[in-house]
Amino acid sequence: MNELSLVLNYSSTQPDFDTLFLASFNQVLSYLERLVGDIGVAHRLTEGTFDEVARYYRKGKTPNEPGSLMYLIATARARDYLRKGDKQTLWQRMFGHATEPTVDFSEDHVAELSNGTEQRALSTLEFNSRVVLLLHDYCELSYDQVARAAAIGRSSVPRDLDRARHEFQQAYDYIKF
Amino acid sequence: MVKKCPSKALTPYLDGELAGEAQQQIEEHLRSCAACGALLDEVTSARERVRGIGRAVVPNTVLMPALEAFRDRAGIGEANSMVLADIPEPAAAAPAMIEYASLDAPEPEPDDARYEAVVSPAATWVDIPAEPAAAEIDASAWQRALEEPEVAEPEVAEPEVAEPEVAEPEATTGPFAAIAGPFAARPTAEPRGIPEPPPLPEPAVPPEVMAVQFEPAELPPPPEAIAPPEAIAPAEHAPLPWEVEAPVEGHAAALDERPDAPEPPASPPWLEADAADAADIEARGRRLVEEDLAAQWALEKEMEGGWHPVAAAVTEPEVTAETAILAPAFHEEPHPTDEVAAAVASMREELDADRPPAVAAAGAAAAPDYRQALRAQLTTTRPTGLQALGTQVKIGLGAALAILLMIAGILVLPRLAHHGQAAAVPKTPPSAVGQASPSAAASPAAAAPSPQAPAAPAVPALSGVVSAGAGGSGYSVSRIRTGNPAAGLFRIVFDLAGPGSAPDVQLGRGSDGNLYLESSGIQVDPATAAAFPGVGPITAIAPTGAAGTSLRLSTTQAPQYSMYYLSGPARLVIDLK
Repeated sequence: MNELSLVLNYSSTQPDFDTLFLASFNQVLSYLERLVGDIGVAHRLTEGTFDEVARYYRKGKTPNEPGSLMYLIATARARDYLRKGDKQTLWQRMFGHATEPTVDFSEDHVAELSNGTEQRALSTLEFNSRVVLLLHDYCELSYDQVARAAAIGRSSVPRDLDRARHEFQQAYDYIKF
Repeated sequence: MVKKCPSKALTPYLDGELAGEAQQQIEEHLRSCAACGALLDEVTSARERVRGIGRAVVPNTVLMPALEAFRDRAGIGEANSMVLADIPEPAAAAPAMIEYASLDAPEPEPDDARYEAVVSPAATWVDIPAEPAAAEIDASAWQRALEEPEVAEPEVAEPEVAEPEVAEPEATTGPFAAIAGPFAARPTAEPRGIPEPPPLPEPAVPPEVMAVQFEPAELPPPPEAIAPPEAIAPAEHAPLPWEVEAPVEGHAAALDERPDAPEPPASPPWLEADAADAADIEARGRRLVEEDLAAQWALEKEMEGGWHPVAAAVTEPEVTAETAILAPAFHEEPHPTDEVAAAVASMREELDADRPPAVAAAGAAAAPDYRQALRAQLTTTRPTGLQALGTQVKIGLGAALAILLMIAGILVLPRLAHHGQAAAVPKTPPSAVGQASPSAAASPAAAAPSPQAPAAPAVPALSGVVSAGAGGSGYSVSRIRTGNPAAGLFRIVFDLAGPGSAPDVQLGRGSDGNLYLESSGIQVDPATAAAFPGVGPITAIAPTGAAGTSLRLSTTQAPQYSMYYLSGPARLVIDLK
């Protein structure tokens, strides 16, 4: 195997940015909306996530596991938002300017992201349990990908996932009935 | 069969993450364990509910315009967009692919030839080794990735690139050559390293033409206006002996090489006779010059970084001592430095001393003026007085001795003073009490002072001191009276005569049990004290310490005492009880 074969193998297995963006935008937007519970914030975080992911594709590079990287960035941004809110630095407040959304979708496109019982049950979980549950069951990532995206150990994924499912089900039953 | 309920394994079992055997065990356990079945139902329900949560459905028609904006902001070029599909020409695509490999693949070893081919694709002296099997796989995968038939068109392998006179046969046979034609065209037999420079082209000029071109041209004749070297007048004065003897490398040699230099005159006979002395002069002169230069360099090194008057004074003469001592005729001044002049003079004197008188006279006649000038300088510039080395050494030793004496005085004198003070205060011997017995003191003749009498004993340390007075002085005791103003009270009165306020006086008990009266402002006539008869507890009064300033009141017992002044006339009253 030489470098040329590695390039071709990479190009055949790792999605490029266009493919990743087109295939994952809706999923990432939905994931972030389920994490933060606000479609506007989720929209902004999603675009920020893809902006950051796109920088890994500069100069002809292709990141390893771009899907996991994308969810890792999205999770980190959601965590920061839930911790700090929309707090801006002094520099941003003085010299920052509001940016128009890049993806201009309508409300119909996100009509399915309504706050139902499932969303309320998810909001009762702690953040890490919510992340693991959504990454595996909602985004349908494997255990390895969940471990990379959530920045946790591979062995702790089934344990956290089992606990998150039980908690979610109990919360759902409590809210529903 | 699983004995314990594997509640933690239900989730991996549900997600299909368990191996075959573990999954079978869980299935067997679930058939018999209702609780685990309920847990599994709960987990399954949760998973299905989460999976069923709605998602956003943003169509690609909305996302495509935004995709361009994302790529523009991130600076992603077209080459990364469905990567290689849009690259039409393999000749342009091959370097790009190799660059991707260098960025994404693991770092190759530095001594790998392929690594150098990747990092420096422009280098033509390193070849990518042909791997037919891998190249076939790459080619097929690339074609699958591209999925465009026009890329695999025959135009990829350009026939004009694989020229038979340049390309190696094995490089043109493999499929890798079909992918990267320009790379296959590179030679492979050249070793690594700096490539050999290509041979220079043969000159197109025929040899006969070159011979004509390189034929030397005729030089112009020398101008006749230039005066011949013989026309230059020689030195006006007769060269001194040291001008021609002991040539120095460089300077004198250059002088000798001058075409117009006159022939050196014949050396004086005394120099020819003393060739060994001349060599000695040269050696010693050089040594002196080297020492002088070394000292000058050291001083300049020490004064480096700033101007210093000493350094400036040393470095000021530009005339080197070497030229001065060995070729003094080229300088207008007789000599630049006194040290060199002194050295030369001393050497000449030594030579004259060892030389026969006739030869010495001839040498003196050869250069009388210069020798006199040197001797005059020697006598005038010899350091005298404080500048002489011996004087300076003496001054230094004297200063050191003075400092040592001062230190010794500082250390020793306080001890001597303490010792003298201790000797000046002798301890009161037991016999002193006997000497102060009333019988001895009662005799006026015995108590009478005499010029040859020893000094009065010093006042011992007092205790129970009482004071009186207002700082006056100049009083004298005119009379001593006694009385008993009350029962058990004995009073002694000193009638004083003097001006001003009452003098200060102290009364205390000495270590010998007697009372001592001290006052610097009262003078007591020893005869007056000696005339006091023993009355009451006072057996005798005798002067002590400095003459007339202290009185010892010898007592038979240890009475209590008090003291005060009475005015008009001044009286010092001491009451004993």
